Amino acid sequence: MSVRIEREDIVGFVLATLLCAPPVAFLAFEFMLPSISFPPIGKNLLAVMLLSILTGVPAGLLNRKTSLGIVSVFTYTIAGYMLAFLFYMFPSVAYGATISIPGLYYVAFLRFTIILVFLFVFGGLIGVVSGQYLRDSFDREETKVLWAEKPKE
Amino acid sequence: MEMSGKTWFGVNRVAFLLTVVLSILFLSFSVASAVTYSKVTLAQQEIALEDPQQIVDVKQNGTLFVGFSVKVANPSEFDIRISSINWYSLIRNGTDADVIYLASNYTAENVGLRVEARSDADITLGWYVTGTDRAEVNGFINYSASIGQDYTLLTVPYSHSFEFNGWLGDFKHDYYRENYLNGMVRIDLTYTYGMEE
Repeated sequence: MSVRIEREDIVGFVLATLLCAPPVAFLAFEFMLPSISFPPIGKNLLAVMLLSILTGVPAGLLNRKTSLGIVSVFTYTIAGYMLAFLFYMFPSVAYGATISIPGLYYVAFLRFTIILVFLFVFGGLIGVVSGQYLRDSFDREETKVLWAEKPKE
Repeated sequence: MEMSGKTWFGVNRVAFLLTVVLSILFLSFSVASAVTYSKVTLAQQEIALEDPQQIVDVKQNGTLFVGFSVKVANPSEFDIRISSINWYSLIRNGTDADVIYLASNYTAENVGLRVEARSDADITLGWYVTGTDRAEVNGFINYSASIGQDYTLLTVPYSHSFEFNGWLGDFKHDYYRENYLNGMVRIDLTYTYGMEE
């Protein structure tokens, strides 16, 4: 049996990738530079895990197909990291300043983000499943309303 | 009875709007953090030592006073918590590596010294050169005279080394475990005069 991907699936997938990337970007950035980030999460892995689950929920909501939802967890994580890298380069890009800690991105991200990536993906997968449940719940409610017997006048 | 939720992109509108809000919220956090990060980075490059000056004075009782003053210019919006100020002065004998140490002054950590945001701080350090040190300066003057270089106590080529260390703002982190962050908020300024061989 082959799964047919329709236009609506692609739109949902792209939206999930774009809309879920900012939380990942912030969490990655905050994990690298906790002292200057707002709000300060302070490298709290439990908070990161919970926020990763929350981030995954929209991906589950926006994707009709669970398989695409799972793939979108990986794509929004990658997009989030790319965004985090942009924020890391922000002083250089926006103000022309020399980054005072050159090479930090490569060192710190590689040193500290193995656990982060695991949390983003694992939490994201839990979030996607939750999102799909929510989506089903919305659909069921909608069907119930549409097919409800209208009271006789 | 109306249908409970119309959809955007196949999703309940309320759910979609909440997703957008979540996304914008975290984007705002990221931008705010990146702006702070930029300000810190810029501040580190703007803070500088200005107008270094040597102070040499011979008191009425013949005591030699050697000092050094410099201005720490802090145009940034962050205070600098001074962790140490280190200065020393010496006379280098040009013929070899013979060095006469004259003076030193050191301010240790945790004495609460700060350079306020958007302000300058004048730092002046000095030392009275007496006894053996003073005799060595006289010896240097006499030796120089014997090889055709005339100096007085005021014109001796005093060398200076000044080092200023501090932390920017109140961005606290674990200085040992997160030592990769030290470089971002650490202010290390140095000024040397006449220290080269």
